[in-house]
Amino acid sequence: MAELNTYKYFYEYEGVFSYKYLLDINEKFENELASLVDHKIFRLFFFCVNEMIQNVGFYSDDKRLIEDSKESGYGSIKVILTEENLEIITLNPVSEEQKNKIAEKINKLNSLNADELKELHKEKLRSDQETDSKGGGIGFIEIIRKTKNPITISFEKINGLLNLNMKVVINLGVQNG
Amino acid sequence: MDNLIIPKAKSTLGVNFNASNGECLLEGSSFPENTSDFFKPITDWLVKYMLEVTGKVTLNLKFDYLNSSSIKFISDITDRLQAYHNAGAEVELKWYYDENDEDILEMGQELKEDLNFPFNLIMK
Repeated sequence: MAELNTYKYFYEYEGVFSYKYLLDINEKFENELASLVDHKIFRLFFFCVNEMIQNVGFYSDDKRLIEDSKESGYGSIKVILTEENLEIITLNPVSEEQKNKIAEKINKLNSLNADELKELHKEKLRSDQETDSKGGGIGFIEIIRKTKNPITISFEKINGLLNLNMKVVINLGVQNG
Repeated sequence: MDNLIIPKAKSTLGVNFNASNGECLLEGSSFPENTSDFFKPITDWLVKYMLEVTGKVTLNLKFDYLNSSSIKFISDITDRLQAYHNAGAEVELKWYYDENDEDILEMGQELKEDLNFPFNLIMK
């Protein structure tokens, strides 16, 4: 990761990942980040960041009441633009049970080649939605397919809570290749 | 049967389904708070049209952005059209894309691979 003073753009947030936050932050990124990168890169970023924000909102093990008895997940996000990459990093509490499921799922997806990911994508489109999935089970597949990079995950204890750290890297040259 | 009209919003598609001629339009971006709640009336309308009106369906899709759960619902709709076509009905799909939008083009190309009714990829 580059030093702070070499970042071309830096954004950080910790709080509730509500739908209102998603709408607000999309507007902020459109205003502040879209002009700093190629249009295709921004569209790719928009897809990835939306999937990752909704992921924290749905699956963070730390749920907060927001309004009308609705709950959203609590976590944090960083967006970092360097000369080479655009990185999205999320952090949110997970249970031990979630840890094993997520690690197994991401490691499996990271091991697949482009054709295998395409086949799995088609299979998921036509399967009944996974019982514990609100996104149709294809968000991570599409992130790996579109960025052409693996999703990096690690787990760490923070204040006694197990946290999932997830990083997606978009190479700024990826759409030009 | 009534037409189905839902105005386009920042995070939800505009919907204009015409029951008298089967011309159906979905356009815009889709990342709703609850994707299944948004798509349910659309799927319900289509099913009712296929059962009651039994006329031709021309589905016009003009997407700017779809999140992953919306992609799944669009796939479900095209699968229903395939089944309708298999039953002998006339179905046509027009998938519009911007010249610079490879994502939307590729999404249409991949959906088309598994469907055998008329499916036209059209540059806007």
